Amino acid sequence: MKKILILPLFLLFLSACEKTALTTASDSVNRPVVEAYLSPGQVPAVKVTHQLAFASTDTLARPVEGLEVFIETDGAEHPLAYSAVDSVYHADGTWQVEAGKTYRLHFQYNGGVVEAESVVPEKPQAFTASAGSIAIPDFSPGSGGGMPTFPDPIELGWANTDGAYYLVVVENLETDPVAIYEDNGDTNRPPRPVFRSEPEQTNAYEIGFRNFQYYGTHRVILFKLNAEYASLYDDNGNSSQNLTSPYSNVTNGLGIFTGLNADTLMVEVTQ
Amino acid sequence: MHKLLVLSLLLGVSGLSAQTRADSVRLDRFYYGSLEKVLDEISTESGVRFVFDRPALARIRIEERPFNKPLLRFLEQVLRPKDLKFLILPDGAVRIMGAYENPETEALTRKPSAKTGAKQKNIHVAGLITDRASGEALPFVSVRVLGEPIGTTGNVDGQFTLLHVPTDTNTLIFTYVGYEPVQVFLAPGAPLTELQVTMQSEATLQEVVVTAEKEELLKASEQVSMFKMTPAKLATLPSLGERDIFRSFQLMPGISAANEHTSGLYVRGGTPDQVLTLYDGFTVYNVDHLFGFFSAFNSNSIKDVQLYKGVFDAKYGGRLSSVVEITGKDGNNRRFNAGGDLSLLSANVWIEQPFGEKFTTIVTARRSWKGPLYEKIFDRFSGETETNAGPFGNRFGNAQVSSYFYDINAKATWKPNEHDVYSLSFYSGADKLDNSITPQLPSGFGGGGGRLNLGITDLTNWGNTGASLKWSRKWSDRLYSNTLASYSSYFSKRDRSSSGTFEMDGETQEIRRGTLENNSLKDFSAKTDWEWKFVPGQQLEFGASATQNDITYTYAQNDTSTLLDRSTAGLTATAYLQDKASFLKEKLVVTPGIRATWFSPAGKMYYEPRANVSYKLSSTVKLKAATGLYYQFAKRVIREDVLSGSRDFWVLTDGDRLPVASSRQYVVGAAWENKSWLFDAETYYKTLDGLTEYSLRFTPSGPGQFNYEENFFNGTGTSRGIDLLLQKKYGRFNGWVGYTLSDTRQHYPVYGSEFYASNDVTHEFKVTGLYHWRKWDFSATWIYASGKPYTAPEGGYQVTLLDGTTQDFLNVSAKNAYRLPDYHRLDIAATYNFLLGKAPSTFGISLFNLYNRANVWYKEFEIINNQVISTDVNYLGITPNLTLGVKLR
Repeated sequence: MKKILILPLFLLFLSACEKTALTTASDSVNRPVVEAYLSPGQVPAVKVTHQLAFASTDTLARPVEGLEVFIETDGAEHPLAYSAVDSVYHADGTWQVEAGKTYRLHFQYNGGVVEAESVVPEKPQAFTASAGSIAIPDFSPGSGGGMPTFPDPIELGWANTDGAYYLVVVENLETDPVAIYEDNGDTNRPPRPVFRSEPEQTNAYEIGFRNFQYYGTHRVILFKLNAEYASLYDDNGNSSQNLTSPYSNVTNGLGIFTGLNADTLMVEVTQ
Repeated sequence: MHKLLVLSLLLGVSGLSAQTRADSVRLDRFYYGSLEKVLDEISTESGVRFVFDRPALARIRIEERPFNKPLLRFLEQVLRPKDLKFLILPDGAVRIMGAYENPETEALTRKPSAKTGAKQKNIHVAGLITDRASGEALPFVSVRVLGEPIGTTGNVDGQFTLLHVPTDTNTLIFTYVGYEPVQVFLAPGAPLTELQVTMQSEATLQEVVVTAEKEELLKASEQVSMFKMTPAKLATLPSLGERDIFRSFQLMPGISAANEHTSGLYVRGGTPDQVLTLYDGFTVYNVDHLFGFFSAFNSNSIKDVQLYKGVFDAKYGGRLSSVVEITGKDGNNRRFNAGGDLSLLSANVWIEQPFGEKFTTIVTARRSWKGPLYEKIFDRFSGETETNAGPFGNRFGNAQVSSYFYDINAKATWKPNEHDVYSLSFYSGADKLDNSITPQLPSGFGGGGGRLNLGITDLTNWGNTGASLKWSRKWSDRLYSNTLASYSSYFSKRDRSSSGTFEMDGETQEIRRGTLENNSLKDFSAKTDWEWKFVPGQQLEFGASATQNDITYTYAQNDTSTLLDRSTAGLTATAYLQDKASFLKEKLVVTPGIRATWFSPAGKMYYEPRANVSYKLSSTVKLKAATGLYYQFAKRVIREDVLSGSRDFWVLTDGDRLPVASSRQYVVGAAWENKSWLFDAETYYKTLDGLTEYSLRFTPSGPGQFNYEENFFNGTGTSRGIDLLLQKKYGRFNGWVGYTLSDTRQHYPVYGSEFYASNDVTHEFKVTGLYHWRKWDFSATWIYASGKPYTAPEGGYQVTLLDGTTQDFLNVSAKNAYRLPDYHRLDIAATYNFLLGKAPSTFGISLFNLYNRANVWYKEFEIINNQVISTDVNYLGITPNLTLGVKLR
């Protein structure tokens, strides 16, 4: 008799423990990928592509065509038109991006509004380099005994009063650049005559002679960036133990829509 | 039939003829053979009656030629080396007994031939319970009065007090997990308040003797959500290299077993850091050895373990999920003893040395060696770091992998009198996993005067050290106190960096890049716990404690940029009061309690009311319910790390950005138990609040003021489920079946909507079977668990960066939206007990994951040619192990 009393008690708790499945379906795979960099003086362009679905056999991201894409600034809506040539949506060339202004991207996609907003930063201030050229020491045998003298690194400096993110990109401008070191099958060599730093909230960057792989004229570009760009450099994991959603400033979408500004210097790399 | 015969002959009697006075007999011939046979012969020749344990004496062989020697001198000479002694009983018979047996109490363990009339009524009985072989006090032994609803549990020092025993002719039953139960038949004139009860470990029994009751490896259902286990019999369970208390607890319902990568306990939806682990009174903060495959506790140093799966007493606090209380061995108080174990993983030795009768010591030490098993586990789980040794690895040197773990336990106990026990216990253990690459550069590299040194450091190093000084005193049969001061520290270091020094004209330049992580925790505690049986049926427990925590954590990427540098200290001061009140002839036991804590970093009081009720519906059926509120002030936070795996670190909460974690728990259950079977069912519901994770992947808004301290994210959770346990408690074949149905969810606003916690397991089914045959013990365990949730990519995309390169991204599903395949595994073991010379020894062979199931630990994803490729990272496949154990006696 007494055992019968226990039974309803357990049934009660059993029902309390009934599993109600949580939403496991994800609509994230249907989200479009946006890529747009708004730089002062340029005509805005926005690339919109599909993702590569886990199960699909695509190897290249397919562009999303036929969208009505707008960029809004100063209360005015500017439509962008799709170009089949480069698969990118372009503004009509009558207006250009300006520093200090806020831009809002929006378009309808799959019944929802995809939107993003960004401010174009002001030009970097007081961008200087400690030297305009750097001489690569000669390590080759027969170049004389002893260690060669190492040149001082080129010290870049700029004003960073608001804790903004900066990124330095150095590119070789020679049409046929001459490599500094022999190619010993070194797979670590950059494939292109470009190297870069990572976005940092800093006001200085040092370029040592080892950074350069090629002789000749180099352009040093200092980008002033927003935090959303810096977040692109965060890895989002590669195993189920630590996988998380990638950062994006695009609502209902993925990718990046950001303003940036830049200043440049020239550096000569000599023997 | 045979067993019954053994039982009836167990306490044999020689010589049925008329009594001869033993002191008048002299012996003068050659005696040989078993002591049993020799005593029978002497009895036949002389008419002296002997009382002795037949099976025990049948195993002792002697060869003696007394020349007209008095019998009593002959006995002394023969018995002493065998650790035996004799006693002349009032009726003139000679009783042969263990050298350390207490004749007064020993006499009470034999059923009296005739029932004498009771002389006293409503008496109280008290005494001390010890292990027969080593003389160590046995903690938490159950004592009850046969046929009466009166019972109690001894304290940690083996002392017990039973109030209001009806008469001085009642029978007391002592039961302790892993030990032969003892019945004590009280008799008028017996030393009622100084009973010396000895119990014998089943592990030392050679014959299986069927007695009225018997306890096995595990004892469940004594209290709501509580288990007890004895290390003495753990050796017979299948093991992966080491007998392991924590691994064995994972065979219980409610405690997840599908976690080969940690010995920590996932109890009812909780995580290992929510488990309070006490070793001789001090808190141990990390219980893992070797990637978590083994627990930090050496079972050779452990006397007793109790586990609360939740709703624990007001005495315990500072954790949300459960309590594991470990009592270390005191050591043999009679003579030197030593032993050791060797397995494919580690070597393990222990030494016990008494100094006089009042002072005992024990030291146990264990160290891994590069046995095949150690290597297998190390290789599998450090593979990632080995293959990615870095660009310098191939060029300038080889990975000099060196790694090991060790632990040491030491304890000294002083019992100056019957009332006081002082003990000093020490534990230290650490793991060092070193995968560094030492530079091997050709000398003179770089030419005249300059020297270049480059190396990859990959060092993981963690450990615990703890010590406690305890004083316990029995003030009277009703009042007992236990006071201790303790220290505990935990450290965890991770150095995954490449460093270089460059020497030029006497000037050294250093470069260092990588991840440096350092977590250290210190715990200084003092506490006092009191038990007061102030009136019959009421046991008041109260006490106070204070803990000073000092926790630092630094996390740096490169030696120049420190992301996190926390150093927090705080005082936790607690007082508690609990009353264990029994009513209706002890059928109803109600235990209300309250715990109040002052936590200095939050500057607030925290109150934790708790209650526990059990009701005996009949002699076999018990209903139970419990509830409580629990707070946790020092907690472990998971830090996500993509390159070198997620790591965790301890922090002290501040009641603000790192909230004090809290949990409300409700448990309702019932148990049906007879002499051989136990069926226990419990259902639980608990809420979790103030959970914290650390992630760098979510950038706080507001560019310009980036503060990594903002990357702590808080969440909540719930867990509910049912635990079922069916246990066959004794017999040649015994074991248990456990099943858990559960549902654990979490909600972190930063991850979006509610999701299944990564330790959520819907169904978990476990079977453990043990079979004893002659000198063999066989065992098998089978574990089945539903797959755990994980997050997977559903697509991928690329973004072109400003320098023209592209960055790949995995676009992931909702958090934990997918499930890994189900986990299952069969382990088997066989243990052979034998004598190596005179030393009791065991040889064990075990096979882990017998049918080589590929259980998935986690998945790895890569984008290759713009396709997402997933790879399963599996747990261990079939893994054999051999163990040899030897002890002096």
